[in-house]
Amino acid sequence: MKNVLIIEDDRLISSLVQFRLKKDGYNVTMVEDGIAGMNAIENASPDLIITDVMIPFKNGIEIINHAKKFSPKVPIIVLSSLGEEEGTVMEAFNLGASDFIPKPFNPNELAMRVKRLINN
Amino acid sequence: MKKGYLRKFLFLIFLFSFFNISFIKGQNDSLSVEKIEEILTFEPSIQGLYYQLEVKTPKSQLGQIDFEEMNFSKSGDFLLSDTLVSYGKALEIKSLLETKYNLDPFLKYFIFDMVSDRESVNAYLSNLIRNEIFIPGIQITQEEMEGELIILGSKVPFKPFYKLRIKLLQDIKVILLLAILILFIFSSVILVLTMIFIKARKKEKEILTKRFKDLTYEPLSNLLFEKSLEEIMEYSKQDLEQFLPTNYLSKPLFKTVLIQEIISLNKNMKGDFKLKLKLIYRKLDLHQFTLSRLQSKRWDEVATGIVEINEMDLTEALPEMEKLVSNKNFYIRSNAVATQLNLSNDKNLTVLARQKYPLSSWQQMKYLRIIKFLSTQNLVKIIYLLESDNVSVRIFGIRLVRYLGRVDRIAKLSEMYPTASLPEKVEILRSFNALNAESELNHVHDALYSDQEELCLIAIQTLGNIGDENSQAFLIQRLGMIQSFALEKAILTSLATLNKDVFLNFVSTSTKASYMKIKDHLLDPILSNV
Repeated sequence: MKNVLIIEDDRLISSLVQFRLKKDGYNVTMVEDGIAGMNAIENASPDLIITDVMIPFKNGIEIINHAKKFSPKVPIIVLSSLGEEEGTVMEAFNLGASDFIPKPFNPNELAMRVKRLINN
Repeated sequence: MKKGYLRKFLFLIFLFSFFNISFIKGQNDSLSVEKIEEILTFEPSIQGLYYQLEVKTPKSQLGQIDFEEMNFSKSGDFLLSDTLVSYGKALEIKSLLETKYNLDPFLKYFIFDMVSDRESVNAYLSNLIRNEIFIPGIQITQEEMEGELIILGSKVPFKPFYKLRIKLLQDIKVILLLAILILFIFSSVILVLTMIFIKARKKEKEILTKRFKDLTYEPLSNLLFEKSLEEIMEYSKQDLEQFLPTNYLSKPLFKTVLIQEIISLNKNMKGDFKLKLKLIYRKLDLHQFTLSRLQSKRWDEVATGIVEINEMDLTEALPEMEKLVSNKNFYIRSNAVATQLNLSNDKNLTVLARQKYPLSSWQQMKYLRIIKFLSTQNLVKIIYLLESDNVSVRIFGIRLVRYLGRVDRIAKLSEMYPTASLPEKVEILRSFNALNAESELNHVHDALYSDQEELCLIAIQTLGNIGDENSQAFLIQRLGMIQSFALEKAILTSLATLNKDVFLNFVSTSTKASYMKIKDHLLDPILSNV
C-alpha cells in the first residue's frame, strides 16, 4: 500500500482529502504543521507528499527543500490559495515540486493527479 | 460628556472632604472639657496631678481666718495651701474661701512637680485615659498596689473592642468608609468569579467546538464522496440527519460548527461539490438558523448571519439585507452591502449609490472585488455612483471607471470635472491618465495651473502620458512659475517623456543648475528609475 503524507493546517480539508485517497487504497498520514511535516518525511517514508504553502512553523517551500534533500525522488503536490504570490509558486517548481493545485480545488482531480504521479 | 465631568468632579470633592474630615477627626481624639471636669472632681486622686491654692489676703483679714487650721502657710504676701491630691477637695476649699471669707483664691495645677495650666492638665488627663494608664471609677487600694501585677490587671475592666465598636457605630464617616470597602471587596469577588465563569465557559465552548468539528468530518466526507448530487436531492431532512450525530442536531453550537465547516468547504471546493454543500445546507434547514441570526441583538451575530447568507447565496434574505445596508454598525453595513451587491444582481449598483455613510478604503476594496466579478457577467452601470450625493461613493465610481477600463464614462467624468471637489478631480485626472483620454486635455491643462500641488502633480504626470505639443509649451511655461523641486522634477520628467529633443534643448538653454542635475538624473540609465 502506497503512503501519502498530507501537510495541511486546515483539518477539514486534510480530512476530506484523506477520505478521498483512502477510497483509492492509499495509506494516508496527516500532519498540521511544518515541523511535524519534516519529521513525517523522515519517519513515515511517504511515496507522495501533498503540502499547503502557508502552514505553521515552516512554510511549504521549506518542506519541499527538506523533502528533496531527504528523499529526492518523492513527488510533491503543492496546494495553494489563488491569492498566493506567483513567485512562491515558481520557487516551489524550481525546488522540485511535481504539481500545483490552486484552491478552490476538486478532490477528485487531486486524487487523479496523485494516482498519476505515484504510478509514474 | 459634561455630565460625566460633573460626576467625576463631585466624586473628587466628596473624596477630598471625606478624607480631610476623617483626618481632622483622627487628630482630635480627646475628651470633652466637661467630661474632664467631672473626672477630676469625682476622682480622689490622679497619678501625677496635684493642686495648690494661693491666696493674696489683706492684712486686715489675717486675724479673722484660721489659716493654720486650713493648712495654709505664709509665703511673702501670699498664703499657700498644702499640696492637694484631690481636685474636689481643692474646689471645696476654694469655694469656702470665696463664700465665707470673700477672698479670691487662685488654683494652681501641678503635673508632677511642674506648675501647669488647666489646658495642660486636660491634655495630660486625656492622654492617661486614652492610653488606659488611668481608668476613671477604678479605685486601687494600697494593698492592691503592693500586690501582684497580674492580680492588679485582673481588676481592670479592659474592654477596648467594645469601646471601639461603639465608636465605629457612632461615626458616620467610618461607617461610610466601611461600606465602600465592603462594596469594593464584594465587587472584586463578583468580578473574579465572573471572569472565572466566563473563562470556564469559553474553554468548554472550545472543547465542544473541536469535538463537534471532529464529528462533522466523516458525515460530510461520506455525503460528498459517496453520494451523488441526485441522491442528495432525493433525500429528505430526516434522511440526511441519519448521517449526522442526531443527539447534537438541535444544539445551536453544533449547527454553528456545521455551517462553518460547510462554508469553509464551499470556499475550498469546486465543481459539483459546491452544489452538494449548498443542498445539504438547505435540506438540513441550516438556512433557517442563519436567517434567525439576523434577529439577534448582538452585532457580531448579525454580521456572521450576513456573511453566511452571502456565502450560501440565500437570495430570500435580500429584503432583510435592504434594511441592514444603512445600519449604523460598520461591519453589519459593509457585509450587508456586499451581500446585496453579490446576490441582488442589480446592474445599477443602487445599493451603493444610496449609501449615506462614507466608504472606507477597506469597503471599497471589498466592493471592488464583487463588482469586478459582476462586470464579467453584466455591464454594470457606474453612472448612478457618479451621480450619488455621497462624495466617497462618487470617488469610488470614478475609481471604478479606471479599474474596469470603462472608456464609455470618460465623457461623464469630463462633465463632472468643473464642479468636482479636489479629491474627485485628482481621481478624474488619474482616470484620464489610465484610460489615455486625450480628448480631455483641456481639463488637464487647467489642472496644471492649479494652486493645489497634489492636483498640479497629477496633471503633470497625466500630460507626460497623453500630452500634445501645446502641453509641452504649457509645461515649460509652468516651470517658470514654480519653486517646488518636486514639481520641477515632475515637469522635466513629463517633458522628457513627451519630447526628448524639446527637453534637451530647454535644459541646455536654461541657466538653472537644478535643471541640469535633473537632466543628468533622468538620462542616467540606472538613476532614471529611482
